[in-house]
Amino acid sequence: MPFDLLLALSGLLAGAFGALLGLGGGILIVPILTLGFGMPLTAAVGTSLICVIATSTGGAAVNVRAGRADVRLGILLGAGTVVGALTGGLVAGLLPERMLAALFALLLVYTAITMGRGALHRPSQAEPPEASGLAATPDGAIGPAYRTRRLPAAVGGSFVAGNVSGLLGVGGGIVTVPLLHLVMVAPMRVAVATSNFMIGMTAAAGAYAYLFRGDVDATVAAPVVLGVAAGAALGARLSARLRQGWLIGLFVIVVLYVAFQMAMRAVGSA
Amino acid sequence: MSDRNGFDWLSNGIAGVLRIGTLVSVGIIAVGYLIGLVGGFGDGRRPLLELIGGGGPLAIVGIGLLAMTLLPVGVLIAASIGFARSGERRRMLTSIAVLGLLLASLVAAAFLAQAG
Repeated sequence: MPFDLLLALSGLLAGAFGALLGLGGGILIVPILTLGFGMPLTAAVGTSLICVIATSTGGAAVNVRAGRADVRLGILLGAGTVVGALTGGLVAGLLPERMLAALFALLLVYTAITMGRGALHRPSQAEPPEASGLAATPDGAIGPAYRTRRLPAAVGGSFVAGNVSGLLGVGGGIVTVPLLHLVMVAPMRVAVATSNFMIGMTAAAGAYAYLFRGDVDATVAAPVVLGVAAGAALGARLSARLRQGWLIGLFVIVVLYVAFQMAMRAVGSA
Repeated sequence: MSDRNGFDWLSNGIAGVLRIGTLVSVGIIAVGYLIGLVGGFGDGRRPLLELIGGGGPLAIVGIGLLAMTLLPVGVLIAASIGFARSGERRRMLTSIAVLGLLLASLVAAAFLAQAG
């Protein structure tokens, strides 16, 4: 029982963390399951993909209802990430992984610096009026209030996000959130909620293979998924309350952590 | 945009699919897991169809996991209906294309698991 309880608590933590920052939580779940519980990597990745879907659906159920997730944009960019993930998986063996990891690490460091500088230069007092990401749409519904920019570049970027996900095994959220926030100039809260909405689609495309092949241990997945679903609902609510500067700060720390992991992979230490 | 009954598929429809779908799949997983905790599980690392066909608590958990992974499919169906009703043809086609990709990967995964 304590083993199951620990699994559920790990899921709760990963779900809350993932939904808070628009990530899948895989960067927590895979190391927890492999290093903490001695699970084989393939089974941990399979279980992690199911958990990403649970993070996405649990968080998006809250975000879509509250109008924080941009559904139209999410579907459009989701198409790019799904196609990118599928092609990334197909060509994964053909490209030099170390070079890709090094390039991705550099891209992440650049992203962290750009996001960090943007947050520091933002007025520290009141957040911009659109920071909540909410406004009444013409037909009276509540929806994200901002004008998206550079849509073609963002669609291309979402393809790259999916590709990186398929090639390097990292969640697409680490690319999608900066893409939405820096390229499309969406408020951080909307970027997080929309990314959270999208990642379920990308993860599902990969999860079926693991599930049908038997690379998901149902006795482990059950408590973790139950924890993740509860954590995601909690994280989505917390994300709506947290100041935009804090959200960006937390995200920058995670981006730098993943950049470090990628750099280690590039030099052959991981 | 709302339909004649005032129902907005793009926000209410998708949110409903997500909320009800998450509750149902999590509920199924929880029931199977609790039964398994009382009566024991057996080997949980088996192909999904074998897991479900084997019966018992793991079959219930397997059905719950499958339901969870099918939620993005449900979201895309709701989005396609929403875009069709609001006359957004290009977005509707995009949703249907993504839906097709997900269903293709589902069928391919099931087929390959059976074949292998």
